[in-house]
Amino acid sequence: MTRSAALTDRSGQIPVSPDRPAAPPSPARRRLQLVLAGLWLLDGMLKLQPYMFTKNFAPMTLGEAGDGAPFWLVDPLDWAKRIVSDHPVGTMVLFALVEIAIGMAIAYRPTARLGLLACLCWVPFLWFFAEGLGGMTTSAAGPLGGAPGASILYGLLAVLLWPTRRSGPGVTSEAVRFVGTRAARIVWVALWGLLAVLSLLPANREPNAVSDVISANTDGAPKGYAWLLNHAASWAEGRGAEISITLAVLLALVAVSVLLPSRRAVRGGIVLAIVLATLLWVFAEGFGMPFMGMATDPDTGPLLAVIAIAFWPSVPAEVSVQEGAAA
Amino acid sequence: MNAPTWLTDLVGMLMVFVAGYSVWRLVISRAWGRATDYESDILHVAVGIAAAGIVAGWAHTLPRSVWTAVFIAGAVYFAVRIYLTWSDRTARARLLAHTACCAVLVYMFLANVAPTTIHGSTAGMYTMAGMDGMILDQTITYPTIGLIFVVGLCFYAVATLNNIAPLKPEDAEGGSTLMLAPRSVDVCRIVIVLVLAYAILTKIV
Repeated sequence: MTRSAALTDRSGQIPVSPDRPAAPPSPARRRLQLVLAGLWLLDGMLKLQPYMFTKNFAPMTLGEAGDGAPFWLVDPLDWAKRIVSDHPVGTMVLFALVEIAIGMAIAYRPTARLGLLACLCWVPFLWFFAEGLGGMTTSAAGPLGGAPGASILYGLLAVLLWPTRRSGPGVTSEAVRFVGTRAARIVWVALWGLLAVLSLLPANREPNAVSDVISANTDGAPKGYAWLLNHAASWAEGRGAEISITLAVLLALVAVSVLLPSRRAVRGGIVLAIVLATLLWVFAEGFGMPFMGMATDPDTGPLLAVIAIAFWPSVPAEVSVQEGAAA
Repeated sequence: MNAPTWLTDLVGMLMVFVAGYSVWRLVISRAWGRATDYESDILHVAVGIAAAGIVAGWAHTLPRSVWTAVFIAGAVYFAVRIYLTWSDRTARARLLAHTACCAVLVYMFLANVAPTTIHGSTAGMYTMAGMDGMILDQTITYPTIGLIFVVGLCFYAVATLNNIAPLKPEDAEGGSTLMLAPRSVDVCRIVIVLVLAYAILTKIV
């Protein structure tokens, strides 16, 4: 067994063989990078809305991040809130420009690596100071509340979609191509498993936990969408425990799906992940609540869906070549 | 609520610059014997002037109804051109983008995307958002369509940027039929697209 093959067996890393010429850049990978770039650009543009420049923004939006957070997090969050509140125009223009620059850098091919690197540098700052670690330190953290935070998912995508020309039979999806099979599986199981566990927290199993989250999204929503949310909220009233447990089971199924040997089962798990991400986005996150000019990002739903798509099993090169020859 | 005055002024000036640069391209390309895409440049002139007036009050030019008619005519023209050049994929994509740009501007004029009606700026102030007494700016009609356009515009900007080829040394050489700074047209397009998205977002309050 060669050294590189042994490495593949042990860690799931995709070896870079010096004998084999580098594969051309994957179009699917580039498309996913462009989606990430588009979401960053949208994030930056949203931060240029008039509400962000008022003194209300920091206490109402950043202040929420500190609700129920432990003391070691509350102090730095208050510090950040004070700075943004005292200088709303300067800080928000800076935030917007950084995020627009990240999006544009990823979109422009020669600077894609730089953009992803900037994304990785910006994300911890944003996750800590703006999102309060995505609410993960509170007793009410859950997938319905946007855990584990949009920022950390941006960072995760930047790592999974890092430009690479690694190829070979070990590349079963775009998520695997750079970090390797084992690391990609750990990321998937940890992410969806965490969401499943958080769904079962006592605060999320309260009778009106789900209906309250859905009702909160009706403010400023268009009539048809508000009607849908009101109906969903009234249906969910008193069923918090049942919905949360069902959601936890489905999320757990998604988490283990990538470990199954069948490609069909993996695809089923990914489709389920995309459906759940869409439902969370529509009903729990209200599309990021952009209808009142107060949204800072599109929330976690689209990012979870993009992560799921990155794990979509690709057709092995050998199979596609054979199919092409047969045709 | 409204954006800081200096920001809207800056964005307005950016649009005037794009319009001026596109006029310069139309003039200079003939004088220098360089090829240019007249449709893109003329569209950028019109969009630059119209968008400047949408964002900043001082850049107001024609009445909204006139601009609406201009961009409806533009959309129809580009739609007919798409039909006529259907087999040419490159031209079709470009013309489709022009048609969409005209459609977005028609929406913006009909949905009342306009300079702020508030005297001064609410930036850096308490506006009591979501409460009685909130300082409200004139908002747009059909904000959902506006938000869909904003998402589309952001992703179009990304796609355009992705298609810009990096500069190579051989690009500096060439004959008389060489295109006049084609990348700058793409840059203008990206700037326009982002300004249109910004203009819609500032009115969703």
